[in-house]
Amino acid sequence: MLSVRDIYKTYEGAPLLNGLSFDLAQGEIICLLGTSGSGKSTLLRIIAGLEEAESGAVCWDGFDLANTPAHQRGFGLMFQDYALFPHRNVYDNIAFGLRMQKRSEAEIEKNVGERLKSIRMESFAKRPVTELSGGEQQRVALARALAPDPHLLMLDEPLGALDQGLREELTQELRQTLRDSHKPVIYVTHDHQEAFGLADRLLILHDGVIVQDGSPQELFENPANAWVAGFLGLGNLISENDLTKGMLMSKQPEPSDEAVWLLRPFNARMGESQTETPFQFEGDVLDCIYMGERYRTKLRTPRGTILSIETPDLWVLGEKIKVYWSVEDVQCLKN
Amino acid sequence: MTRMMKRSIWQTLLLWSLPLAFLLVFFYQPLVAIFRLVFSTQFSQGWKLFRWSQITKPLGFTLYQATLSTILTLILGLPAAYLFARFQFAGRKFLRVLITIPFILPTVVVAAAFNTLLGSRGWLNLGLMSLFNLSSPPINMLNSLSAILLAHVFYNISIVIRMVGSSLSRLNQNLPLVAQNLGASPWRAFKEVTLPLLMPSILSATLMVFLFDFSSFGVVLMLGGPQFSTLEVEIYNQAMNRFNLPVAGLLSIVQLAFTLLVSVLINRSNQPRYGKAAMASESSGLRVAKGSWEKAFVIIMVTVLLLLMVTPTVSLVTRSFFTFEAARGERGELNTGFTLRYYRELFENREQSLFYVPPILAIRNSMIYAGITMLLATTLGLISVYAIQKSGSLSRFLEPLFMLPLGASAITLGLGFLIVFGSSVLTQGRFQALIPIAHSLVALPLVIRTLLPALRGIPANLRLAATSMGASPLCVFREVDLPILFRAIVVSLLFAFTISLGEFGASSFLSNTAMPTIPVAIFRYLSQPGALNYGQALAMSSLLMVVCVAGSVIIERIRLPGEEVF
Repeated sequence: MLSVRDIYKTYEGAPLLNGLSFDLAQGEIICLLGTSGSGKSTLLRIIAGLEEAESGAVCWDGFDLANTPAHQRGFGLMFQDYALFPHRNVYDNIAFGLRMQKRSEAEIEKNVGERLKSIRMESFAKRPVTELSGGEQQRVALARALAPDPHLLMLDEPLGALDQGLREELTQELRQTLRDSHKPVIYVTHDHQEAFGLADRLLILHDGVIVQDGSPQELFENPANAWVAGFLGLGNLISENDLTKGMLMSKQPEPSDEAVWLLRPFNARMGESQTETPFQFEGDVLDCIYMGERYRTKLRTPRGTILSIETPDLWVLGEKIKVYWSVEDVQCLKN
Repeated sequence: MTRMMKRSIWQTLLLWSLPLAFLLVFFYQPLVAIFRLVFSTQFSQGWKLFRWSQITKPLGFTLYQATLSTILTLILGLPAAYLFARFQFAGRKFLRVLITIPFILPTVVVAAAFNTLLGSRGWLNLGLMSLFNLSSPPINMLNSLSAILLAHVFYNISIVIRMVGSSLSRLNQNLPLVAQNLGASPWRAFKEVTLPLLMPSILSATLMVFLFDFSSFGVVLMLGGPQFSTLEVEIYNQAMNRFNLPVAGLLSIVQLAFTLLVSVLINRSNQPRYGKAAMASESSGLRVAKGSWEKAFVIIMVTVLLLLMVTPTVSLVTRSFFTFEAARGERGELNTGFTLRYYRELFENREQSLFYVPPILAIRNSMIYAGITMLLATTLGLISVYAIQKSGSLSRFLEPLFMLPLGASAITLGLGFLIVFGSSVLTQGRFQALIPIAHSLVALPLVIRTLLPALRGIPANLRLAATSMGASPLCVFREVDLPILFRAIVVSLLFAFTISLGEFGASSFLSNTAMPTIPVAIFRYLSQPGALNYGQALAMSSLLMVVCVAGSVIIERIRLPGEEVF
């Protein structure tokens, strides 16, 4: 299927993609996660053939696409701003790709009709796209990308332009549509919750390379490094300076500036540890937010470290509480 | 309450009365006079000699040359717009400024510039003559259609570059990309997506260029020679050389009808159809040309634009410092080289012939007219924008009333003045007084377009706040409005000043032989033989060009962003 090899690309003199590689299997949905400006969109454009990499290769079934122009690749790309043609109505937007394939009018009409039906917008065919709401535009853009039956579908922050409520609703719908299409999908987002909800596999893009590649569970349980853990919001990242007592763990790697510990909020225990642990803290309650069954509480230790923990009880602001993590609940990560 | 409302209605009426009276007397009255003259039986003897070809021939030529000029302007202007909207190259900013210069140059200056390039005494001919030892100029591009077309392209290319270029650079670049992604080749994507989205601005620019080419007067008169006459030139000929006012009037009406038609079309096409949907959130970045095709495109376009834009003006200035004439008494011995003589002569008063007008007199006249125009147009403009502002929803009907003079040409205005004020017992002195009035009418729409957005931009709360703190209406104007409007007022003053300095059409009707303006004097010197006349015309043109360029540079500097008159 798709194989991306050693892609290099600079942006305004600085390296943006720095020898990036990954593979994609048939019917697989992968999410490409990264901060904004990390080169996610650029990577999609390179795969689509709309931009050229300085070196590296994009291959499909082992065939190098270097000399295949964008319009002959058959890869669908849905842009972040949807890029609906403002001079065409809903029907003509969806029909565009089919017209480029020189399908017959009857075929186009049938196909577009089905697409409109699947997004429940049959009555919108003749509407100008400029009159659509954000969610409707998103649906039309997706239908337009799927209409010419691409080998591969790429979505660039498809829900990025929508507000929170609509996003959650549409994530559901999108997952269904993507599963039903049986196409390989590359889904780009900076929102890890959206990614966890959609992907078979997650690729984390950082500093121009894929720093981690795995299932959501793998990523959640074993983040490759401190940056990934921080980016995914897995918990408190604590360095040696934040600890009160000296380091004494034998099962942990040598303490150094390079290493940090991941303390997950839900593993925090209240009070004082019975066994010896370096992860014993005392601090003032900064914040205590009701999250449903539990409270998310923020503490500040005398050293100024802010810790986020989950507690069953409500704490008064400014109250002094003790909290610890047992050694087996803590992960040591590379910085 | 009712008393207050009554008072404000009276105030509004008072504001309206002055500019309206001015327009009625000096714009609508002459216009009506032209109509009355044409449709009256008073000139029945004139009608007997009238042939329809007198109308159709100049109209046909006007349409022909305007169409050709517009097509040529588009052929060069559209790629140039693409160049500026997409590519980064050395000297880009400089070239961009350069391209806007022709637009503000008076027609006489442009005509003189092309004369120094292509005329029998121009650089091209001088060069060829010295190269091949010829005794007479080998090429004659002056007095030809190509000279007219070239000058029109030179003049109007900036309209295409500005209008089409700005919508191209704001166009969402993802749109053609998504088309390619959906299977359209780059060319197909351009044809199906980019071009249709640019069409409204291309259409507006085309109509605008056509309108300017259609009503071109100075360029055709001075570069086309006697065998070519557009409607405007024919009006001038009929009125000034044949004294056939009815035919001139009829031509004016035809001209007016066409310009109004095109103006209406421009207004229609200006309406943004796709709005924000086609626009990118930020204007797209420029890139350096890649690949041999793009590089060749950039190099060729930059070269062509530089040649077109720079050569005429540089040629004008250099030629004005260059003497090329037989020294006195030595026939055949040519005295060539650098000279400041033409500039010195501008300020010397020689009484050589009966028709000779000292240049310094023309300069003095023009300065006086420009000064009066500047004050008159800006004062009227200020009153008018307050009147428009005060009348609320009524302003939709009243605003076009002030904008209409933009559609009527200066020639029509001159003719109307001649009919209204020429028939009565008017001395030449009073005729002179009409020149700044005509100039003010030409400048007024631009002044209003400059002042109105600035005035509308003042938040009403500011005035209310000042009033609540005890400021009288006059005090509010002085303390709130005036400081905020200051920049716009300075821009208006400069606009009016430069327009008056360069105005040729109406001045050629109204100035008498003894009291010319600078452009009229240049025109006269150019059409007379003799190296001194020629040199003086060039020296004056160069000075006028410097003043106009300086004026527009200052205008660009102090103008607030987003206030484009065109």
